[in-house]
Amino acid sequence: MIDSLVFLVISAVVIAGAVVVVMAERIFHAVLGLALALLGVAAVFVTLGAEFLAVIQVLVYAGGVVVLFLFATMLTKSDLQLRRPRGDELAPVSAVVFAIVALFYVASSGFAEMGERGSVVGTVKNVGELIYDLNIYVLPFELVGLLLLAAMVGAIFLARKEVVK
Amino acid sequence: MSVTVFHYVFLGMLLFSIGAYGLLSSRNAVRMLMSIELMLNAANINLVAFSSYLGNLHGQAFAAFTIAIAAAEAGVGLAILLALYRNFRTVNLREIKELRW
Repeated sequence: MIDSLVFLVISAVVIAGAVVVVMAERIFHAVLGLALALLGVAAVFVTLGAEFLAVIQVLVYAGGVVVLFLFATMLTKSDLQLRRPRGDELAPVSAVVFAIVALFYVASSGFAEMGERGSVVGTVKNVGELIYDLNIYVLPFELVGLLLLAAMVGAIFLARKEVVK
Repeated sequence: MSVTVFHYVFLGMLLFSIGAYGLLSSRNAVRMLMSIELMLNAANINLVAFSSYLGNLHGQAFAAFTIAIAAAEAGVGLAILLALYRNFRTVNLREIKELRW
C-alpha cells in the first residue's frame, strides 16, 4: 500500500517536470523542469533497488547535463516568439497516437503477470561485479570511455571560437 | 494494489510520449535536446524496471551505458548548437535551413 503511494507521488513529480519541459514559456523554466524530472527518475531508480544508478543519475544528469543546458540557455538568446512551443499541428496527434498504440501493446503483453519485484539490489559492488568479474561488459565499458573521450574532444572542437590567423 | 512492472512501463511510456511531443512541436533547439533527454530517461526506466523484476542486473548495466551515451550526446549536441548560434544568431531550427540539403 505504501509502495503504491510512493510510486504515485514520484510518478506525478516526473510527469509534472516533463510537462514543464515541454510547455514552459521560458526556456529557463524548462531547464528547471528537466532537473525536477531527472531527480524524479533517480527516485524511481531507488524504488526499483537500483541504488548505484540513482547516484549516477543525480551526479551525471542533475549535476552535469542540467548545468550544461543552463550554460546553453544563458549563452544563446531565445527569441520572444520562440517562448511558446507552437509547432506543427501534427505533433500532439502523433504523440497521442504513439501513446495509444504503446498502451495497447503493453496492456496485451502480459507484463502485469510478471509477479513481484526480485530481491536483487543494484549496489556499486553488484553492478561492478557484473561488469568486471563476469567479463561480459568489460569491452563495452572501455569503449564507452573511448566514446566519452571522443565526445569531449569533438565538443571542444565544435564550441571553440574560430582563431583568425 | 501492489506496484507491478506494468506501472513502471506505463510511466516510461508517458514520459516518452511527452518527450516525443516536445521534440516534434518545439522550435527551440535547447528544448528539443531536453526532450531527447526525457525520452532516453523513459528508456532507462524500462531497462531498470525489467532488470529489477526479472531479478538480474544486466538491465542496470545497460542503463549505466545509456546514461554515459546520453551525457556524450548532450555535450556534443549543445556544442553543435553553440556553433550554430554563432553562425546564425538564432536557435530557432525553423530558420536554420542551410544544413537541410
